[in-house]
Amino acid sequence: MVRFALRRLLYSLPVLLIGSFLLFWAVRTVFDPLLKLRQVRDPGVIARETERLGLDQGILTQYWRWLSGFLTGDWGVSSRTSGDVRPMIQSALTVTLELLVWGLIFATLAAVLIGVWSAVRQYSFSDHALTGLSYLGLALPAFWFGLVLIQVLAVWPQQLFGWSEPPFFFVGLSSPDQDPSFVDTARHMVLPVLTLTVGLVATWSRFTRSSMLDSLSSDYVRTARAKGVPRHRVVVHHALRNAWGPLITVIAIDAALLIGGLLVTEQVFSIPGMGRLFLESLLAGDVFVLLPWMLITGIAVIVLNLMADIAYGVLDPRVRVT
Amino acid sequence: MTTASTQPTVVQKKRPRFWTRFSRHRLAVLGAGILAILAISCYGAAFIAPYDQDEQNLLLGPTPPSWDHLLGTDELGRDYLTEILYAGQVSLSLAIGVALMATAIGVFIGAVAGYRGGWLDDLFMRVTDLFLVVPAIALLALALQGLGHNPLSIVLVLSLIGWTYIARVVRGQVLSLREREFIDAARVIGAKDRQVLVRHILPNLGGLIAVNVALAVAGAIIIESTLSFLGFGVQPPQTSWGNMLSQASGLIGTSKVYLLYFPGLFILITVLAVNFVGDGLRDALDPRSTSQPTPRRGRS
Amino acid sequence: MTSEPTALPVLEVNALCVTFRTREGDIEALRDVSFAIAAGESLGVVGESGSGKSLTSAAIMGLLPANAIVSGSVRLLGQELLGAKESTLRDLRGRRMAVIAQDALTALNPVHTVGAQIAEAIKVHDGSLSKAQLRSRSIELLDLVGIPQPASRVDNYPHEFSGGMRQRALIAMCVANEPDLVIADEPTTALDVTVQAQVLDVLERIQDRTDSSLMLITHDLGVVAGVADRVVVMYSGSLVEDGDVDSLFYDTAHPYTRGLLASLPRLDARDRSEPLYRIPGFQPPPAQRPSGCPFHPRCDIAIAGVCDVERPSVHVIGPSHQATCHAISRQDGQS
Repeated sequence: MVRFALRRLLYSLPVLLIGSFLLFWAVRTVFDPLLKLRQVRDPGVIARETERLGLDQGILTQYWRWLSGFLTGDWGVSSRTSGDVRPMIQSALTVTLELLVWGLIFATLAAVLIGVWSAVRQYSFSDHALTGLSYLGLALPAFWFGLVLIQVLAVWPQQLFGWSEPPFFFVGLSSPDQDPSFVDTARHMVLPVLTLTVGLVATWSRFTRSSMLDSLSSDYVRTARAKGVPRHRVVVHHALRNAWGPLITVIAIDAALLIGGLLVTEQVFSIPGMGRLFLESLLAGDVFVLLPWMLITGIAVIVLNLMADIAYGVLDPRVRVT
Repeated sequence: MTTASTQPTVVQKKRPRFWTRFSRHRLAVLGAGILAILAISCYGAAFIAPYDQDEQNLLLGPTPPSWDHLLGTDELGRDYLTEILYAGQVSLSLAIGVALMATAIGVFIGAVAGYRGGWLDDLFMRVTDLFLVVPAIALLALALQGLGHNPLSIVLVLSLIGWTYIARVVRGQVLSLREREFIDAARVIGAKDRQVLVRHILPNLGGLIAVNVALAVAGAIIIESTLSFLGFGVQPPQTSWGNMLSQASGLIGTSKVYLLYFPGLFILITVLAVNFVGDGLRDALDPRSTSQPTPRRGRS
Repeated sequence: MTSEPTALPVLEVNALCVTFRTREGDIEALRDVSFAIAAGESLGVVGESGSGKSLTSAAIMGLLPANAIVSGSVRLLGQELLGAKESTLRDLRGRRMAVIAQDALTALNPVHTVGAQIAEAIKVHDGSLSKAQLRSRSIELLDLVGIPQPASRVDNYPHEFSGGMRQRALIAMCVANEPDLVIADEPTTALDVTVQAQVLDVLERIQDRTDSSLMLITHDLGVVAGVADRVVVMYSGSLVEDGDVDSLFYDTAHPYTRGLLASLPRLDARDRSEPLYRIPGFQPPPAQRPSGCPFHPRCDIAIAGVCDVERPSVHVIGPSHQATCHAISRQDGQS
């Protein structure tokens, strides 16, 4: 298993390197790192900075300089905030990871529950209703859904009942004056998590349903029933246990989608995470933040995929031979 | 002996039954109907819209829906329904443009990679892997920032980043088609690769392509509106459903929040309708598939 | 109806009818199937694909799909199964009656070890055993069916077994609770000939040990000849002949059975250059069954005006031999 993981990581390295180089090149072409300085119009400063940052050298050299800096922990200084880039990304990453974990757990749980329920009660009213909801979930633009949620579940109830606070918060992930408590975090998380996951729950639950239906009509389920195994155990221990694997693969493939969704969600809910950092840096042309951001994100996607592969191996013994 | 130029027999059997199968899918027919109404209303806005575009009525200001203004008016007193219909032209056109272009690129690359195999195919797989690693929205925003926000570059950028999905699907299908006997027959006659691809393989991909165009349109509408909302897409004064929502987002908690609902509802209904049509197309082409809503994907 | 039932038959099927409700209408899959299996007896159920053999076993176990309408009577050791509560049936399944599926690879759950699946078969009916006890019992069973090194193989997954061993492991799981009725659904079809013999051997050994009855479903007459005490022949949803194995092979009555036997390749065939006999035509699907006797379009002794109009009833030929045929009852009546 360890060898398998290492091999996959090794295989991803070239992709990461080439991808990061291409992005480096693209970003350097599009953005001028010294834009702000040029407005000051001091040719001495500009010349000095150009030399310090090696901006006059070949693109490969620049890339190598940047990459070695990155690997040694020197990520430069943001041209937007003039602060060190590394702590900026680190704090943004922590925030985003919190949202990501909550989101993944919720989405997976909801998808499995809905999918299994729909499969076991195929063609029933609840199955049709849930199908209809999935159609809706797939057609919903996430950012609009988020905005509507804010209006309907937070602002309107507060106005209607005259409360001092909305029932669910929609700015950031924690209240600034209070010590972080679970309830406070939860109230902050509900709306962003719903926004982030609505499309995913729709897709994943449909997938789980169809995977479960396949499982439930399989020979081994028929055998289990013929053995006298009670219904709930057939569903969970036999059918679901087999339907898990394909779902994990789908979750992994959708990982990139999830990260994209984070961008939008963080913007709508003013969450100071990686997504918001990217957008702010992009608008400001802050090359020094954008480059490490891309690399970190790429690594995150690869790691997520790897974890999914390992999870699949754990769940399905037939795969472990490779 | 012109066997290479005869119609591929595998395709013709399906054609007469296709439309009957499609029409049996009630949701798909409903979706098609909705799309038709939407397209006519938006593109025919000059004739259909109750007011002129940008016809301001500053004295009136923003008003909630009424008989005079079915969807209300915005801050400048413009009829909201009219605004939405004109914005629909932009959103729909961009989405269709992206879908067609991305599909064209994807089908071409996917078919060639799948058919030729070898190093070409390996290269293709590595390139699409690359695209998977960075989230699409980030790439898109980056590219648009660099290339400008006019409609043409929007279509270009979205297509150049969005072709990978359809390319992979086409490649898979071509790989299996490649092994079929009628391809061998064509090659034995001496047909060149290009001829085989165009005359024999492409027609068999028709259904797959149609379904994916539908999927692509749905995805493109959502991506374009998201990008415009974030500020990277269509720029004011040009309106699309996305940037109308961006302007309206500040109105949460106010009495004018209805300005937020309507453009979003239009997006929702359009995407739903396109998804239904896509499902109908898929079921009409493959009777074995179970009815499921088409999955929403990002553009990578 | 049959010979001397001194003891209660393990299985008594009477006038079993199964109809499926579909969008295109009702389809009568099984019609008036009646037979019995005595304690310790091996019954061969012979017929081509689509004749209703597997359906019969599904009906007995109560595992038909939701759109199936069942009528008649199925009694296991005197207890009526049709219409019984699901909890009752679940208690009987795997404990008193068991089905050994045809393809062990798909019948066993790929993500659980063989040992776990055997243990489950025991545990769902007797929760009192400890994990250690369950494990040792599983090893015992694997040994019983002739799997070498059972103590280590008990932790293997189904895909780690070869075809024949997998089938035997499946058998071990199915007979774990020593059921009174073992239904083997085409146990040899997915296997090659040498392995077939081993599997049949295992079945026989188990029967000897536990004195259970065996209902062996197969299309292979050779297997039936070697294993069964009695045979029933099914065609197009109906039972056409029912007899002890000797009567069936040497005193064949029903024209379909005769046709089946005639189409077997034989080493002692007089003229080997002659083409193999084949019953003309083919078995109709349930939705397209002809009126009257289902076999009449292909029958060489069909009587016009009778066989195509009226369904035949059971005609007793001997003390443990009967057939469902108009022509035979006419012949007997005349002779």
